[in-house]
Amino acid sequence: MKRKLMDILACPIDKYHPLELHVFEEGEEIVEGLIICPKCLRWFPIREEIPEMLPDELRNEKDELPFLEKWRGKIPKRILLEGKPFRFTNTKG
Amino acid sequence: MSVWNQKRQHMRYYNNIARFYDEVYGEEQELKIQAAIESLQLPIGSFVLDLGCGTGLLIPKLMRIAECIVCIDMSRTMIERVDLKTRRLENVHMILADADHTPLRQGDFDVIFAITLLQNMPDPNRTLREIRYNAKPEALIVVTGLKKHFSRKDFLKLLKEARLETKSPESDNILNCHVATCTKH
Repeated sequence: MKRKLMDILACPIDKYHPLELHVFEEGEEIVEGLIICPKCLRWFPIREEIPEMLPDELRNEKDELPFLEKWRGKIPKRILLEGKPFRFTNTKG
Repeated sequence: MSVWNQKRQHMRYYNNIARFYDEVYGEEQELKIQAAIESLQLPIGSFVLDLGCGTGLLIPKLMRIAECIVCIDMSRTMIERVDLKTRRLENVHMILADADHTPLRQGDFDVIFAITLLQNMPDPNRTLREIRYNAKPEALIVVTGLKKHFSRKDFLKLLKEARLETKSPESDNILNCHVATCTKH
């Protein structure tokens, strides 16, 4: 994902703009990262350069919690505790 | 079947066929794309939204003219089939998203394509409302409707109900779909 895309991205659920970007790995493009809606606290992963911004009903907890786990140390606490649609029930930081 | 189950089913279907999609449907898609863009005077520097972009067949036709091309599809495997060089072009952006819930600001696009999309959406009216939301006031909107899914009359009625004014409803006999170029009322 190119950083420039953030200029036009909005939350797919409440359409809030601007969204927050957290970059975990970057090459020619952002390879892995996280997009957060500061209004509803939904988070959306960027995996293998592609931002995944599906509505809750088309997301799969089993597929996405490992992403939160992988980048746990770099993800804001409020997302780990209160993020939507998935969060850890027990966060030790 | 619920709306979400229909969408999940389509995601699975396209994830499964992505590997051989261009081989099976590429030629048919190229014909639709040709019909869709030949009636357009695409202004240089346009912001283009390609909803249901699939394997990105539309991108090479627009990449030299458009300022920005945003491609959306709900199948990750289809997006992964888009040529990596094309995906990495400075003005091309790929997003895994639902055409009914686009992760985009209101009214940013000059041209919106919805090719081979409406027949896969559980509520085409809902999808057209979202397209209106994404369109600038004077935007051009190109929509196709599979003939076996929509009669010409029903297709035009659908566009009218979505308050889209049809400029050039094409019904080429070679194509298996109707192609309409529209503007917002």
